Amino acid sequence: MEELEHRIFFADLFNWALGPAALWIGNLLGIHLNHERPIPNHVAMAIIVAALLVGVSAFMRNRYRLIPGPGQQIIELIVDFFQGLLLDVIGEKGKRYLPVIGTLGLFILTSNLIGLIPGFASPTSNLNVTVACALTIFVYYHFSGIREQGILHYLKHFLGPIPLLAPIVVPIEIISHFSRIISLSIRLFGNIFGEDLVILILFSLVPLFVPLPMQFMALFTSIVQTFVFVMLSCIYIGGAIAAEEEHTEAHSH
Amino acid sequence: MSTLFASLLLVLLSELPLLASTEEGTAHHQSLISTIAPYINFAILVGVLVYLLRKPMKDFLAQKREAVGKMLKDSEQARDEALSRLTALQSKLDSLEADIDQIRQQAEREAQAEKERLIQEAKEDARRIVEGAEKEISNRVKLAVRELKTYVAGEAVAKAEEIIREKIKDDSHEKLIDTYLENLSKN
Repeated sequence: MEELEHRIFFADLFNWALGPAALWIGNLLGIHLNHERPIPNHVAMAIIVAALLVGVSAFMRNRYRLIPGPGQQIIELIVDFFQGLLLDVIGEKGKRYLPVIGTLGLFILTSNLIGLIPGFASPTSNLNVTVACALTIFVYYHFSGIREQGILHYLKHFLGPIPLLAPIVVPIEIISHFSRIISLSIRLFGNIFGEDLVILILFSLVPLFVPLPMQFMALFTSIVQTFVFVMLSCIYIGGAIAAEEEHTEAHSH
Repeated sequence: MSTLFASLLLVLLSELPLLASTEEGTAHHQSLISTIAPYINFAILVGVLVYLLRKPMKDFLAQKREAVGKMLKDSEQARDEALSRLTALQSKLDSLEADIDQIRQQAEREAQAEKERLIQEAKEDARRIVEGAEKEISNRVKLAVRELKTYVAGEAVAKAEEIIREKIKDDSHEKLIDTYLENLSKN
């Protein structure tokens, strides 16, 4: 993994511009940072990706037309895709989660793809970033479940359908929910890190042309991994709020 | 796209000191080919993607744009139609009061004419009935008078017969017969 932590121009630029500030904040919080490069590549790249997404969104927002141009059409396609996914998995209530799922999906997709551009690296090839994404979803879907059902009703589902089996079901549920963080983060990290590593190895063997097939493959896996992450996030959110819908339906009958 | 190439150029330029250091034989030895290879690979990647996706993507987007345009046009047309209908209805609504007045006046006129016609008819009927009744009364009176006369004449004859029968005895009767027969022989 250290092999991939090569010098990146933009990360160097970040360290030059914001390094002292990062060191000061680190000292303030009692966090030990590398004095030479306090802002690691993946943090710098994640900030670039976030800035890029905010910039493009802000740029496109002012250029919205009734009859869309190519850029607007592509953005509409992406939004339609996320919205369709949410409607399919969660139902009509899914529209409410579009901002979170859309932001996360776009961040992961851009993070996966940006590593293919020379001079950049995929933030998602670092476990810290993927764990951060997974934790965001973990916290968000529990928050959504509690918001929909209330804390007691939501926690009641962890006891299982038969009260007698609660001592067995509760630990299983807890492990199952925490394993989601691991599965989400390791899957994404493993795939992106793996493809970056293979490209790097192929590049170190024969720099020209040989890594190309793997780069095409990386394009595909970047999209697939984004889809998997987003799809699982939708399922987790849907699962957290579904119990309330069942409950409401039961009452309505 | 130009922004992407500009950033690539920037990154490439940033790598130049490393190239220089290669020439100076430092620890970061990198050949020229390995420095520019990622850019060539990336350019090929983008080139192939653009070559493969440009036409289908362009067609798809054009189709979508056309569909959106058509939808908008249809919506505008539907809105215009709705507006014209609204305007027509509004003007109809505005003239409704006048129409109602006109219809009311017409109805009043017709009702008045009908009333007059009915009154005329009733008067005519009444006149005919009165005439008929008068004629009937007159006929009845004539009939009654005739019957009365007949009755009175009958009664008078009966009475006269009765008186005559009381007053004229057998000798007078015979005298009368003789007188009648004498008159007959004279004649």
